[in-house]
Amino acid sequence: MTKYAMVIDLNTCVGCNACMAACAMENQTPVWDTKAWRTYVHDEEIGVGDDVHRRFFPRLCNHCDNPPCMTVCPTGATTKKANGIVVVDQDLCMGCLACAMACPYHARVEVTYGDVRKGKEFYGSDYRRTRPSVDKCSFCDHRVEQGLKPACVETCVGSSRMFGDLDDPNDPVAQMVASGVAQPLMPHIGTRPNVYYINDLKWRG
Amino acid sequence: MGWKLPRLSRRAFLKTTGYGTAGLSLLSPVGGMVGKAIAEEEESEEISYSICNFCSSLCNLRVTSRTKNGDKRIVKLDGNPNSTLNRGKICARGQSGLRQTYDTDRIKTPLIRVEGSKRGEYKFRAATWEEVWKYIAEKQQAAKINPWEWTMVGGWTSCVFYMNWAVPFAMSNQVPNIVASPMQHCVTTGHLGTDMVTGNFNIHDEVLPDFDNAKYILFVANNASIGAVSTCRMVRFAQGRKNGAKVVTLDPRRSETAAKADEWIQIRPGTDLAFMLALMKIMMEEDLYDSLFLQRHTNMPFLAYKDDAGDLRLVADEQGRPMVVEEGTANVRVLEKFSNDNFKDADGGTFLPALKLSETILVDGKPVKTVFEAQLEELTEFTPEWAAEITSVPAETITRISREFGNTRPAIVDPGWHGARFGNVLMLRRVQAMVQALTGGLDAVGGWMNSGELHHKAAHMYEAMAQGHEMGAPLASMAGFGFAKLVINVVSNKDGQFFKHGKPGWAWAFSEQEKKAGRFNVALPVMVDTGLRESVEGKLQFNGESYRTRAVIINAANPVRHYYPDTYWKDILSHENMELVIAIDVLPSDTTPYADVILPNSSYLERDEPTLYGNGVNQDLALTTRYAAIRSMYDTEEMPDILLEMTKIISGNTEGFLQTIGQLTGIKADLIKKAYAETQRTHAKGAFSAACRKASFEVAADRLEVTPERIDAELRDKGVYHEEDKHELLSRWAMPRKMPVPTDSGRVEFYSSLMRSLRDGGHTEDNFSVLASWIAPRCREGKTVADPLAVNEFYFTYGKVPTVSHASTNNNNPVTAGINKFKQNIYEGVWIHPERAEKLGIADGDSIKLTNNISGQETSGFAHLTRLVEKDTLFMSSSFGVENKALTKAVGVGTAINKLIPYQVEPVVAGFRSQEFTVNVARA
Repeated sequence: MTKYAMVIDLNTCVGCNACMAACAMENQTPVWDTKAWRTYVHDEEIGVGDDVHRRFFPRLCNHCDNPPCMTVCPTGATTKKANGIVVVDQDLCMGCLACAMACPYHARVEVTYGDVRKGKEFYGSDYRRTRPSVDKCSFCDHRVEQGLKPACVETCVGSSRMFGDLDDPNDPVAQMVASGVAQPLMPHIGTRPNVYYINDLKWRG
Repeated sequence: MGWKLPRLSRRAFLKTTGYGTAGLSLLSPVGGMVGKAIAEEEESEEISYSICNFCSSLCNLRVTSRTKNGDKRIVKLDGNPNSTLNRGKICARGQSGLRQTYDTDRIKTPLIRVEGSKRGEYKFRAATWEEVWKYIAEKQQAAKINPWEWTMVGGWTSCVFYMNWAVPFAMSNQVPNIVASPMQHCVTTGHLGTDMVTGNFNIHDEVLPDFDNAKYILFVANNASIGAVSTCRMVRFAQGRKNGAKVVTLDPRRSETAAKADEWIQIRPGTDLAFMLALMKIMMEEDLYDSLFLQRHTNMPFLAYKDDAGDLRLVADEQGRPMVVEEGTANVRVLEKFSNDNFKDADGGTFLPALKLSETILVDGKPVKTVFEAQLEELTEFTPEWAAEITSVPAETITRISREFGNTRPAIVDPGWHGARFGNVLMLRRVQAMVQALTGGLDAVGGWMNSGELHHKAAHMYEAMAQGHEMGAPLASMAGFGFAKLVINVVSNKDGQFFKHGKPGWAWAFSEQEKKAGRFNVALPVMVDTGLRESVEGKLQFNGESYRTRAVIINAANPVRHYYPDTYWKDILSHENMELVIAIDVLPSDTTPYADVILPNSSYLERDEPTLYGNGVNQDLALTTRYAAIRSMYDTEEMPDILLEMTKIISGNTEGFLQTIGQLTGIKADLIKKAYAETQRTHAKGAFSAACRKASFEVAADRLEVTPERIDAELRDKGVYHEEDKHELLSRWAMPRKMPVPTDSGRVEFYSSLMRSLRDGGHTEDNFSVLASWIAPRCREGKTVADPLAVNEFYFTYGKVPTVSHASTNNNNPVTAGINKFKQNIYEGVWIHPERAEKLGIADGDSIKLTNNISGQETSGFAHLTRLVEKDTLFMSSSFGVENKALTKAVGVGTAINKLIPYQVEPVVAGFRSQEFTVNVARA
């Protein structure tokens, strides 16, 4: 089987936002709505008092094994493919946003009628959308199917984002996850997410 | 997963509610959105290769275009996976770049100022190319503008890509005036410091440190190399970090680079030099340097003496050859004047030259010491305790970092980026280069590495020198510092050697005028704006005549926004004496409102470049160029064609223009002419550019002993034409281990002969020290760093954010503008530490007023409270604050820093002292 996952090494994410731009261009997202990024990089100030650190934290859909978004979707627009990728079928989605409410990772955004109108003008003849829907990261399944990496991974200047198959024991991503060096977000809530992070705080002097 | 819901298709849903397909149009407010397209559309995809245009990394691009029903669009940009420069990666600006081509705010036709409107008003009407050429020609004739009354203003793009035409244009039209945009900010102010040690010319185009293999990486007053982003450096740094390198940054704020550091050292702005001098002292005192490297390849063992006036000079024989002492003896040896190897004297004998003398040595009756000893003596007072007081960094930290750095190999102190900021930054970058030299890490694994292109140029330059023949095509063949000297020589010349009218650039005339009047003047005003105002206002004299500036051609530059203060260029361009202002650009900027005519250039993705280029700063040797992904969308023209037409107007000397291109670049005039005869028939636009491209391919093919078609095929297939690997290049051409560095002596220079000659020319400020020495920052008159700041007083620092181009008015790009909005507080706010803000009653997000304590300039912004900035310092991002409403996505966003920064320059190169003041803050 195939089970796609991402490991993000916080030690080398430099907050350049290339992933945000690459994803937007690859997936034709509504860049005029600053809340509608499929992936985004948080710029965090963490630590107490004078012991302050700056951490860049890329976020995206976690393609959970137990996705709450899929559980609540009334139309069945949200499904999980055999390769692990959770996808939204534009044609079935009715925009109720139950999934966005259910997702604990704030991974879902709205693409409205206005956005689709604007998108036709902005992206021109190449625009692929035909209707509004809820939108989210698709692990660039259209690229993955051709043996390519997701756009964000491809461009990551820090090689912070790494993408692989957890079911392949020879895959470096699988090995990283198996070794325990990378942790997912909120593992205790039972979503069984597939985006893992390598912590950067251990490196601090 | 406890819910079992029926799978409801949209069609089923609608059926059950009784609407059916007939009523679907009621549900969708926009027609044509329902259902999938009926007919199968014609679709094809094409890959082409290009070079990104948004910073000096010059990343190689793979461009994807798609044609649907006859409409071809660029749809995606990616890093070229075949490129060893950027390793298939590009940053946010690179990814967003196609939206510059599709930016609706682009200049789409030539524009002529609307009658009755004033410069400063963005009021233009569309015109044809014939109209604008006629307009310019008539203006030139009516005002009788002399060649020296023209000034060219070049932005980064024009320097990097179009030097081959800009310089011949200047010379053939007898225009000795070029103001080049990154000079006073970077190239002469920061880079020159480094150049004086290593013999380079333009550091970030020539030096790419081998971060992959470094064990210790130190960044000093620098974010742009890594975090702001320079992709070719970042990809290597990321690898070094993954390999476990220790990273230390000196920065008053936690920049993107500092965020990746193991230690972020919050240093007082302008005092980095003190830290580095203390570090240098510790390394030299505690023997943490590569002794053999210093002895063999630097001028540290050279003998020096103090003359009667107390000035330190190098000992030299009648032929000007340097001298050293054989280690452990009293034997004085004479070395070759130009060499990379001090182990051989002028007679061919081999020995080890001493860094420290073991006994008193006299030469011509005068006691001498080595440069090493003189330098160590100069560093005597620069202890960690001394540095601690100035920098606010604890002495123990300074000592520890110095020892860690000194004991770790290989180690890198990044050469640094943007100079300017303080008058001492030129010396800072010089000391950084010296420190790197102390480690022996020049052209070495895990250390600094010169580009393949520089190695290639230098090797051929030395070959020509050795064989005693003139090297042609200096623009293509002069390497490193030799190139800088050539440029200085040409624009400062008063003998009529290059310019028959005998006038140097007005900047040099102004320096001379000021010097004669006993006022502040600049030693090397290379391509600077110092004196432009006086020239325009009629206050500049040369040889008893008035030296005026009455016409300006601004190419891909935005001085109204990027020079200081914001009124300087506004006043100059709108002055009544200014007869003609021509701007060439892709998008409107804050400078274009001051033009009389605007000439639109194509965007980089629409362009077949007029020549082949080296692969930027890549350590490997390769060739690359751009292939147009789509045809020009608008009525634009190419740079070489514009300059050819301007030549017809200014001097008529098109033959001279072509011949000079040939002489300076090696792209022979005959080849271009032959190609031009053809391209004039096939190209409605850019015919001259296309001809130059064809000729350039032929010249390269000749050198590589292949056909032009072969090069073209390789570039279409891979985007880069790989010539040689870095390890092979280093094994033959490493500088200084295998070949001399392009300094005067061929060695890495701690003692600067350049500074010696400038001092002898009357420039004796502490900026002109012949050795590494201290220059205090002057942020507050009459106060030292020990004096506390007022409760509302702050130091000031600015920097880039990673979404804004280093080279283009790119914050109008809708994608990066969107990201900026997402990070608005951090990118657009003024960073202020919460402890200080609290005392001033300033809360996060509050509107604040900023006042420059030296100039009184005022501006406003909003507060971003953060502990990520040192308590006494404010930070603001540069490159925001656009005023021109024609830039619809950028206007009104953020604060323009040049509204807060006055005109203050240092005396070596007129480097901007753009942070050398304090700022008062209050709630607005």
